[in-house]
Amino acid sequence: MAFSALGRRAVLVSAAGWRLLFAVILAGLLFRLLATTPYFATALVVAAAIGLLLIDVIGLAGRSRDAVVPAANAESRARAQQLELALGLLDAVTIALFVLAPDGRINFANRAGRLLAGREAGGLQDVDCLQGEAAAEILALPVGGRQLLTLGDGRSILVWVGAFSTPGGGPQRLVSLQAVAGELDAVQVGAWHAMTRVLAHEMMNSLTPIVSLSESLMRLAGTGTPVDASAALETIARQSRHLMSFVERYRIIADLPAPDLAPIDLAAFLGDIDALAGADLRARGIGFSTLLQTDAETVEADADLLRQAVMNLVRNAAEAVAGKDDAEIRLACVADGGGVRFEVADNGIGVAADRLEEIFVPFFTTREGGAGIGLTLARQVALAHGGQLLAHRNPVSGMTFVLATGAQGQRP
Amino acid sequence: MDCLAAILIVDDKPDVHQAIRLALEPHVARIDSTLSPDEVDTMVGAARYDCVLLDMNFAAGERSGREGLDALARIRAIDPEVAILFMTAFGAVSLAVESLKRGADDFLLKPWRNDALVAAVRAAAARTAAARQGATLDGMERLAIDRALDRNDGNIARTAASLGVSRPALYRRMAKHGL
Repeated sequence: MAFSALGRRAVLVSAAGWRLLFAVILAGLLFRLLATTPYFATALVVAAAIGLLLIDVIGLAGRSRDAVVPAANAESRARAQQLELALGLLDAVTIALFVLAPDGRINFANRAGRLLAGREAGGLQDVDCLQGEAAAEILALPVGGRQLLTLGDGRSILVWVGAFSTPGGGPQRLVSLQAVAGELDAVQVGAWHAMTRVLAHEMMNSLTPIVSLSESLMRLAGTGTPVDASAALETIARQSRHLMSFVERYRIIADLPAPDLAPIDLAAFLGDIDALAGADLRARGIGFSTLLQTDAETVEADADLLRQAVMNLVRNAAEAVAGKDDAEIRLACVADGGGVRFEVADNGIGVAADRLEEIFVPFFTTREGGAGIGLTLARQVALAHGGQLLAHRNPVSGMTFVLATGAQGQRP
Repeated sequence: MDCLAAILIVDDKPDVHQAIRLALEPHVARIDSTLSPDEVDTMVGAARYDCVLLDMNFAAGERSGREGLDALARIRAIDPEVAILFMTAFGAVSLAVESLKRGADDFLLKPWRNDALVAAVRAAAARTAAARQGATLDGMERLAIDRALDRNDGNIARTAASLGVSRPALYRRMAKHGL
């Protein structure tokens, strides 16, 4: 429709143009006629002709606006087919797509979107399953924002907000809603199992001496035999404190603050890390270098959280290379899509391939007395920034941890 | 109750040694202990223990039980008669079952109650003593039936005839021994 109207407009201009040209010539003739001779009757006829021409032009313009175009030409037919194909594709997508006007009205919805909306919904807040806070949360999301929402009926959906504009249409927002129930449940249950195993193991091991020693002390106290209980009590106290610090650590990762985003000067950031860790590492015979490998000067991030995360990675690397002769840790900041990624590479003992995911499980540690939350925290910081933290085994030796901050410029 | 002669504790946590020592003090005359499974070979070779208490994992973060199962195999090779008690934290029951298949006598869930610990150690020590004294009457009967079955390719009638008992009597004894 839109395409054939365009083609029609070109014909209209030329038709009206001819008529106007003719009217102007007649007007010139009329002027000449009245200025030189008093032929009023002829002048009246000429003036009437001009009037009819103008009425014709106005009529033509009006007709072409309302008229249904009959036979479209071959080009516009092909375009119509393309459009239909595109719309068919959108309808075949199982993700619900909504195009929202700046005021929140739904301009377009694909089939999955229409099914989700259930009835003719004017805006997202009219969609039944998004009643309450869900619609408001989606509308509040910035362009480029991703969020996992749990609906009133318990379903989980992944929301993504994009932006696009059509010529003359102004900016519009594209909202995609993807049901992730099955996948998410499996991931959640898996993560939950992994953490429960680590927790149970840690807590039961700590409780073992506490339970046994307490029972022994009770038995000894009952017999009235003099006994040096101090060593047993000391162990009970130490293991109890260990359990307490364990719960404290749990609080640290459960209460990670939301990132407070601000532009960070990347060179200064790397300098900070060097100042915090470099001297100590070099004193321990570990080579440490930082490298800025991006044109970007700044990145939008929470400086405190990011510093903490990168420091955790450097600290882990230091543990991995401890005792090695040519121990070396390299920290690089590399351009990554719209953002940057921090790569911490070491040539240490590495992580077995079958343990690559386990190392991110909260409280998992291979270090005697290790807390097991450094990598968990770093990954949470990365995720909070819309990025991710991955571990790769280096070809020769050691590990590279890659912390990506996520695409930039899409957040507010 | 009589006092057991000697037991061995293999666990990487000194606190666990301390707890077991205090709990078993009234029941065992000598309690040896080691923090590393590597020393098990020499210790088991040097003394005749009534029971070995063996932990499953020794390195931080390790939950596969591999080190424990390795040590189990080495102890069995050196002293086939000593009863081995596997100690495992909650949540590793499938591993405990695996350890039983590989020759452990019993397993003890951490954290244990002292009564359960004493009972498990005494039961293990009794099995060790029985094994060291040679086969019991029951054991000899079981062995005899087992061998006769083998000789006769599992044919019940011929086995019963060769052992000089009736078929129903053989069935009863086989059921008793779980053959």
